[in-house]
Amino acid sequence: MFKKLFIANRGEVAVRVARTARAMGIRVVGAVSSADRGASWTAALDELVGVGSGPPRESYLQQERLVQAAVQTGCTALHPGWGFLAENARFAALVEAHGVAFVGPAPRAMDLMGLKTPAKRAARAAGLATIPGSDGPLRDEAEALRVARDIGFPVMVKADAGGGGRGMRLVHREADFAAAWHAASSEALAAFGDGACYLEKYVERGRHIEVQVLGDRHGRAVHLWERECSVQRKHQKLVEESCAPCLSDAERERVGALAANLARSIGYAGAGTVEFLRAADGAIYFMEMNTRLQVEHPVTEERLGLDLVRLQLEVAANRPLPASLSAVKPTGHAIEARVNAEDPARGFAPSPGVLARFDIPLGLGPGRVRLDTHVAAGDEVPPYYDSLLAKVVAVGATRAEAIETLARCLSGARIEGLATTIPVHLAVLGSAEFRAGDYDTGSIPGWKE
Amino acid sequence: MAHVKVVPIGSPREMALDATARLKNRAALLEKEARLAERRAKVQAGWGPTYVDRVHQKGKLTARERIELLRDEGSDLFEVGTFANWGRAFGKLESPAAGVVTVFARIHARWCVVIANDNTVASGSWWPRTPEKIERAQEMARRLRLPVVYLVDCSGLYLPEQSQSFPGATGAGHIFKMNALLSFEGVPQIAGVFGDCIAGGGYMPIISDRVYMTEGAYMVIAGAALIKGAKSQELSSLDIGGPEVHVHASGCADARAPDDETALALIRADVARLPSSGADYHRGGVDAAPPFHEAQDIDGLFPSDHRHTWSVEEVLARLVDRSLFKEFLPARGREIVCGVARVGGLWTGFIANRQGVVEDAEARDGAKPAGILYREGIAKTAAFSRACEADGIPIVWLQDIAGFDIGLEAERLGLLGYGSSLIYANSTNKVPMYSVLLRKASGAGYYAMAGLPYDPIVQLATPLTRLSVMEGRTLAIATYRTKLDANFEIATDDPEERAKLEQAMQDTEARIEGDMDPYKAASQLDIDEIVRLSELRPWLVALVEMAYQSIGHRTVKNPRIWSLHDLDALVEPR
Amino acid sequence: MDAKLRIECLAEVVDGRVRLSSPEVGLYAQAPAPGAVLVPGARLGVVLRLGVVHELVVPPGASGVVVGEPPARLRHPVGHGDLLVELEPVSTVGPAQAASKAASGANDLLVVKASSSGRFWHRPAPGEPAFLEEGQRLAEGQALGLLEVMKTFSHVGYKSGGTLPPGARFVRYACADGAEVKAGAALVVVEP
Repeated sequence: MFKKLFIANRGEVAVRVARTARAMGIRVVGAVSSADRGASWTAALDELVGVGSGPPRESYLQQERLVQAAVQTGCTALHPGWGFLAENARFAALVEAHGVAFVGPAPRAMDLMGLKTPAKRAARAAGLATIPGSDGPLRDEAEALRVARDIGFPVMVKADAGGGGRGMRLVHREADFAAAWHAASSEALAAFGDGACYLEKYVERGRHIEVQVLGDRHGRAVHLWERECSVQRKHQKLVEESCAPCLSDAERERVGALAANLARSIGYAGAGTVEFLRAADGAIYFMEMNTRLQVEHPVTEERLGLDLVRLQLEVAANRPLPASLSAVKPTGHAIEARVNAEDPARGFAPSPGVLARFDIPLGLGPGRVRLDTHVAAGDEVPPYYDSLLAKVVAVGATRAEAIETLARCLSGARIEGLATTIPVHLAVLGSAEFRAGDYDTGSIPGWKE
Repeated sequence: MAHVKVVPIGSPREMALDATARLKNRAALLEKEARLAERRAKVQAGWGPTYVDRVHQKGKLTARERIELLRDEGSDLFEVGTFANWGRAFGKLESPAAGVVTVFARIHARWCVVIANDNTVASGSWWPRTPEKIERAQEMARRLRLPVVYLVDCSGLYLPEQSQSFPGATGAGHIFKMNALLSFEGVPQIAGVFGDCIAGGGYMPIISDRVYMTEGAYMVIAGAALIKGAKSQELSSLDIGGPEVHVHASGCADARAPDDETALALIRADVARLPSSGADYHRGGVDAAPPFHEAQDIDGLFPSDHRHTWSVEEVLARLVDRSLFKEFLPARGREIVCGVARVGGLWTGFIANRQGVVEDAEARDGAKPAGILYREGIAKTAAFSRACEADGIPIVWLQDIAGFDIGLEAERLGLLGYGSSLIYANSTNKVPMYSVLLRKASGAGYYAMAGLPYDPIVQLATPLTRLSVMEGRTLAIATYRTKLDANFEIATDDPEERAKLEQAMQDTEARIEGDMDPYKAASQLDIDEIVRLSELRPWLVALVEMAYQSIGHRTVKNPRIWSLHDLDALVEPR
Repeated sequence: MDAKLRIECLAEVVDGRVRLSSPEVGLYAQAPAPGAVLVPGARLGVVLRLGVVHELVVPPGASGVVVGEPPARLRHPVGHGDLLVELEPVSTVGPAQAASKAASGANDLLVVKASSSGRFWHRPAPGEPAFLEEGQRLAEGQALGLLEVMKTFSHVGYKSGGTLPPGARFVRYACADGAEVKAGAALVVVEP
């Protein structure tokens, strides 16, 4: 096993990875921007290397600095976390070229799954259904319009190189198509350096189902069951849960098997997530595959009693997946709330500042609560990075118990100095739709903007 | 350090060069490339549809159709010698591609050299330069140990021009010597005989390991026309030397096939029995990957005015995998870039002429034009060339060079000696070398950068190539130097004399400009192929993969123990 | 001129001394000896990042005498912001003056300088319009003009860094079209 691990990430991500690594007896080295220097969370790391000034472009995205930092501190592996460079194939190749093991899939897998069109082709080859759409990116507006007519409106115009909810436009009517097409292409060009867009039929009121997969470097891959993440605002997830209330056990098994199939067919190594969209008629379509560990992975960990970061490290050290893994059965129900420093009363505007108070009660029951955070009272939240403050994961014997646990915990939370999204989470948890498990990506259950 | 410390190079296209310049460059280039496409199409049409029909009427396929069936579906062909004999007339006739098609083709995932007589051009006969073109392809196969497939359909020499193709050291007879050498060195050769193969055509297949004949094919030392009594006995050439004779009685062929398609399938099956490519082994678990910076953008980076510069980093970034590159000795001899990168996942050495202006190694804060060789650059190149030879790293030479430095200082520094040391290294290298004449390939610079006389396995050019002993202006200066002042300006007050001199100098320039035309050099086989800039990347991927296909015939050191690392260790600052 | 990797280190005044720290992550080598006098533009060693040598120079406004021994390791690992060299201000230039020098740098004209001597052209070719218009915002890499050196023409592109901000605005050309310029001469005036 690696003796020293470099974490090319910050905040909550660094704290999460460091926790597992240290538990495994691995020394951890972290990257810090000058804005993060002195932050309380840096105590989670054994050594720190300054990598630049605050803005991510000057620090956490500086590929050569990160690799050099790993090399000069004697690290033999590098964990990219999620976000930043986690899905950057060139970065992964650079890391490996300098003798440091990249804790993630091979660069080739990132290339394949990083562009929507090859990813969809690979999915279809593995037996997954994909949303009706253009077979590949389109660059010609006239052709795109023809394809759109074939698919039938409403359609989504999506950037081929996009992801994470960015670079998309919904077009309801043909009359709006040209403008949307141009806007999407130029946005894509500016944001991702590639103006190619593809079209997909818009699935209204779909439900976001994703499956955690894990592969090793010896050709094996398994699924570790699903999560539902349909509570979203502008394609950013707010609440995630497992198991997905809308799936029958048969559907659950099927979608899991499909995801594992895909991972196996592309020789995927490491942790990944296969994302699906379930239409109102029950059809389940492949959307994309994220070639990294995801924010909401604790939901899976809590139901299965597994440490996914540990498994990632073992895969990276060329260990085969333990045979017992596929037999692990999930128990109970887990729900995660992403508590962001955003003000729901002011259109979710980011709310930077100093955390005067940060108390989240973990023992209110009835179930148990896991808190993944990097902040404490007295911390100043810098403006440069995403606004996630904490992930509060409630685990109950039943879904109702989990909802109750999370609601009690968040109601009892006292966070002062910044606005947070807790009111939204409470509204969601209290809503009839969410409690009935009857909600979708079309709107936030219990919350009207 | 045993790792090869590649780093990202290049910038996104908007930062590599501004849009106006890019568009202008691209437009000028596209014009030249359109002409290239037109000319290629003309050559590939052979002697035209009438002759194609004649071949079809005999129930046969044309050479190019045969190649289509031979190669792996969906794979690309890399043709060399397309413009052999371009612009050359033999009386009223032309010989497009010198009547023979020579290509690198993938057959069962193995690169092979295919040599196919063009049966639409004088029944596949051999013109002046045809033997040289065939021998050049055979030599490429010999150096790379690639299997050779001969698609023989050749009626012998084109007799009216026999004095230029029969007797010489590189004339038709030398083809059979090359057959022998290939066999002697263990290079597989497979022949399909498809038509009237007379004299030279008859000899061509015999040394090959496997010979297939179609029912309509014959091989004869001399055709029925020259055999006494053949007419009265009604013996045709097919009776004298067809499959009945050679597959069964003489054993000069191995198997008969009912038609072209079957023969080609049999040839493919033979190739499948050969060892598979070693390339994937040498990739060492690292997959091939395209350049990170869009390879196509190379089109916009080259100004057509040869006095304008381009950025060597931006070009390299569009030729190598993931745009990751390791430069050696970057602080010395900055007029040259020496480095390694993966191309299609395989380690490749690059030696390229930097453009623009570089620091003067002899004067503080001085600057000198790049695109010229100075002492440090030559020494760096020689050391790098030797290291790649020792390490078994194939070298790609990217030329855009005006020449060596000149003058008293240059001579005192011993550039003649350093240059000769470099030439010695290149001359004695066994590692595969490929040269690409990007733009200028001038004088001693062309030699120092491993131009054709130094036996690169393949020499490519682009539509921008200018190949000659010196630039036009330099030649004009040299010719009229007695009439020029110290700054090379015309030294006369008489307006008439000035006008005359200007005209004379312009004429001199124009004449050598004509010589520089890459199509002229390609016609003479001094350039193997003219390619579009955007074809360079696929060409390099193929050429490098060929260099690693055959295991056991050349040194390939694992990167841990490269001599290149020693160079690095000795100059690392401390 | 080819771009040799030369970067300014970070500088701040702390307790009367000038602290020069690393702008990069890598191995620091060729540190100056104690007693050496450093002024803006002076070389204070190199940082090796992934084997690539970056020359470090003293930024404007910082100067003084090197105090403290260089690191024991000839190639010493540093991160961004780590201390490289401490300078004791020379008596004639106190820390306050050193700081104010750094501040006054902001009032100087922002200019793009010639990397070598030659002739600077405002336009791509005779008869064509100039590359830039007054007030135009400059993108990274945008062509400012052509520098002709020994009959070869190189594009001069806008590169932000040091005192030149990204997205600067073109004010005017600092020399005539086709003027002979020396290395370091001002070519183009910009403003933020």
